[in-house]
Amino acid sequence: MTVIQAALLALFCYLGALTTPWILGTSGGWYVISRPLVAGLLTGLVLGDVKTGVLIGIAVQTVVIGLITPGGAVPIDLSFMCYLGIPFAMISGLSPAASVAFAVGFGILGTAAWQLLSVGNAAWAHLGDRYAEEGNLDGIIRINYLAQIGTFILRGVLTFLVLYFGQSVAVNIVAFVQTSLPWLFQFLGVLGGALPAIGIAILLVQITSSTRMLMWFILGWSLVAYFKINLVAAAVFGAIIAIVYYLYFSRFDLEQEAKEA
Amino acid sequence: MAEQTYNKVTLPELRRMWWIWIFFNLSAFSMERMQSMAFVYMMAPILRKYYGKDPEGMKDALKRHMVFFNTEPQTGVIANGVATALEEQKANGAEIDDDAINAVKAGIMGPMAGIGDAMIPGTLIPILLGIGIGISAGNGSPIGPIFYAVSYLVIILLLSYWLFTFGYRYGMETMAELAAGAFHRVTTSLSVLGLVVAGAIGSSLVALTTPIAYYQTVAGKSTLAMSVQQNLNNIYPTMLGLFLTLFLWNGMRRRGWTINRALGMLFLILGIGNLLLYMIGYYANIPLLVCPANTSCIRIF
Repeated sequence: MTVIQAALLALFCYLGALTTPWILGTSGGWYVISRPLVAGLLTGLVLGDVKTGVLIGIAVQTVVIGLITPGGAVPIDLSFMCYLGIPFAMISGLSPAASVAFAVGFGILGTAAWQLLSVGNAAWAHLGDRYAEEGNLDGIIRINYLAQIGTFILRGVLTFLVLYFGQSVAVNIVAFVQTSLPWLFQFLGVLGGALPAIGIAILLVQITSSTRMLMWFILGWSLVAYFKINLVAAAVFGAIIAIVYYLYFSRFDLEQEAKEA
Repeated sequence: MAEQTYNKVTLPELRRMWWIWIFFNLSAFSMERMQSMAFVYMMAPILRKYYGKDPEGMKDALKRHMVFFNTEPQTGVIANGVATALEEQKANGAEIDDDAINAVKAGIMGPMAGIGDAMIPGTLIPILLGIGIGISAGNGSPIGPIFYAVSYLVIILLLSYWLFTFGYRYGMETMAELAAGAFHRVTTSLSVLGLVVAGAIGSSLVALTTPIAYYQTVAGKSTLAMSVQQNLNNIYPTMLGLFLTLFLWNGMRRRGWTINRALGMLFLILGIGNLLLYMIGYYANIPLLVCPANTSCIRIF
């Protein structure tokens, strides 16, 4: 990896971070540039192998396809997963399946960076309070830009340093783990497979207003488990069920819920 | 407010506010205030217009909007629209106190955070990603990622802008609607859709199987006689993944586990079930754990 390649990847990492505004805010950054599917393409373009990049991106993406970040809680950090995990997996010559465990490791490490940022940024909020007392609107607007310093250091500078100076270390570690610690590799693979359960469980906590709503979740689960339908088909059935529910059951259900409360 | 004509928020101002929000909604994010700094920035065009020559009014307005604000930024923007309408009415002399504006914001941002997270990263994004993966799986073509990026941005930007102007246009009525329960019916029905899709995603992605199996020696060769996973598959495929998900859900909902705690529990369960056994088996080479060739044995990993 040359200096320019590492710098480009670090730039993507910064632009795709959850708190970076420049590419249509969260919509274009976090939800597009930091999806492993897209990151695979971008990494492939930078490193000169689009096909491998996209294939690794797809493998990593499936682990975090249902990932949401409720209330700013990032269960697994997509920025480092995408722009440290995927490039390192590519230069180490890992297969897409093995890349997943590798990328998940970076994703877990990355949550520490996120915690640091979201706690550290509170200092800007305190400054904002002071400006509000003074009636200083321009000051508060300026904070929206100044707060980028932390994001840039963590996602841009740090990513560049790790990518550029850590590449040989990463390749060696992968080689060492593969040959000497296969149990760790296997464990990371199993963990990677089970990790989506966390994302789904968070989603469930958010959507279920009452325990009985859980039946709809188990219905969706069972449809796929028994009939192996794809996600689009599940969404079509879900939409039909939701319309039927709205027309015939929702009023009764809410009355019942109000009575119980 | 010398002249008594009603000073409306103009369409260019509305558009400018929405763009500011789209770009900066999380740029000064902190656990303590989340999106409040971005909220003030978004309000800047109309705050300047209404309180530019009124320092006291500006101070009050800034303090009013610096309070905690957090929602799913792309769809929760409906709350920003409603707050804009209220701010306009207040600046034009309506009797609306600070608490009322913040109560409306808080009343909408909470439900919209839940609905938005369920609808956007929970439903729309997995479906679009699923299609993108389908296009590029196997051949590694760049079309899949490009399809995802373009389709997502078009859908989300149109939806977000529409929700913002919807919130602004209906202002107080939106709140009345929220109270009347019709809105609640709609969101509950939408969460039915979200739940079905969440179940489908979980079922297709949570990969947890048990390797426990009994091997028997047949004609000098170790062959699979009974696999626990195969028996489970006959009853309910992906059963273990469903149990794991419901276990984590129960922990988070009933016992208030944080995500890190849930991650820790997952690590612990898999660690005991897998890592420990594998390590012992690998290093100690215990026959029970590592199935030696050509023998009858039980494999547990």
